[in-house]
Amino acid sequence: MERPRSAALNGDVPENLPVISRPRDGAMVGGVCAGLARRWHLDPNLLRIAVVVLSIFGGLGLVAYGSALLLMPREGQAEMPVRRFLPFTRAWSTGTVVAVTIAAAVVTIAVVGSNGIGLGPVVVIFLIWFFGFRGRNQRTAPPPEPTPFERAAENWRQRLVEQQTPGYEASALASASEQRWTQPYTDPAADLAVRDDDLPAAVAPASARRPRRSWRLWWLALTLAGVSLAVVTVLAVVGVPTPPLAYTAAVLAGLGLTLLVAARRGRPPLLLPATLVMAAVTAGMMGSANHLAMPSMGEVHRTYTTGTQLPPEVTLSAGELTVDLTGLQLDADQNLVVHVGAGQLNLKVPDGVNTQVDWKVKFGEFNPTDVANSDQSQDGVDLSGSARYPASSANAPTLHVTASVDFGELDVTP
Amino acid sequence: MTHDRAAFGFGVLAVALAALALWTAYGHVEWRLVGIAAPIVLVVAGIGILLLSRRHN
Repeated sequence: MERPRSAALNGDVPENLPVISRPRDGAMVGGVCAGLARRWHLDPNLLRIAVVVLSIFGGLGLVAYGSALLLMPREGQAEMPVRRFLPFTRAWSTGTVVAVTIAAAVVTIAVVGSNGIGLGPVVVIFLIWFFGFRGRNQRTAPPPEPTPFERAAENWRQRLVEQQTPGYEASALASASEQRWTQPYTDPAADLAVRDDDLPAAVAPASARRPRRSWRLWWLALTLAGVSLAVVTVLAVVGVPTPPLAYTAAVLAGLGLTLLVAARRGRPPLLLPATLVMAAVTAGMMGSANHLAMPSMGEVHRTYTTGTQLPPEVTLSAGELTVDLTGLQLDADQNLVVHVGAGQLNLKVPDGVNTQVDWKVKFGEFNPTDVANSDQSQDGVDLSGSARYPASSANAPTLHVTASVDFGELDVTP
Repeated sequence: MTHDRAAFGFGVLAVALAALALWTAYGHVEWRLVGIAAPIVLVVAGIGILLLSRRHN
């Protein structure tokens, strides 16, 4: 007969639990995804992937995760962490604390949420593979250790099952001389007392509870970060141009190296979240540097009207790139390189500037929409050519555009 | 003895990102080289995690 078991024994969350807590078992960083997935009966890896993707493309996931980390207490605790870190919030109601935290997250997103990482797709693929790998190899959580009462009840149930088995009487008589246990009710005093040696051996859980992690490795993290910062500072002092990005990268290197050591020695608390935050800051500063031609994806529209606005190069890894130069005014000749890896490039040439377009399409189509260059329209492999778009004024400066598409379509519109 | 695979994986990524950021700060990044190195770093991280996942009897 199947015994009814309580929700807690089945590993579920009791329905009367007032909050969503962060479990220690199964937690990757702070246990937010594990806690939410347990509450909503989802695969925690799905939530982790969503958080990572939202973190990379705009930073929303990082802020949302941080907010949840502040609001969700550890398993077995009733107090929200934000109340522990900010004691004055203990006087506030729960609704106020939640509302203020969410408002702070929204403000944070509005201020810093626009920086994305161009290498996002690579990192996303790696993390999907990483978490998928972990999911396949993660052993199921061991069942909770039964209480002495449950073990006694299980022992008693097994005895009853044995007695109901056909042939029990004969086997019991045959083995009377080597009886293994006392017949029920023959010695009531012995049955009422539960002895440890009378109970089946409890299955020892492999990792019932994680040992408390040591903070000691933080000294190594601080030392490595300090040494890295000192090296960067010395470089700045001796005259090497050192942007702020170098300092955050130095700290990130120290934290990353400590994580590698922690893989063997045990990860100290908060080291991984601190590293992720520093990585996000570093990546955001890299992304905000306009001189980087980082790979990107999606639909991008760029409009330039003056020579100072005009960058030397505009590139898109995949997607649709529109470069609108129709209102461009130049004081002198300038060059522009436009490249799309895979997708469509729409180039709108200016009217007030002489424009020379040297174009190249590895595999795809070249499509000039004007009548003068319409004879160059072609599709195929390794296409190239040159198109001229004279300005209305003969003395206007010249813009040399080198436009190329690896796979896709190149449209030029005067 | 169990190893912390998450710490190893994120540690490798953090060090790689820090190296790229330092390169950006002090020189001109050759993205073609980054495109070659990035998959190699990921493969190294994957092999490392795979090795750390082995059970030691």
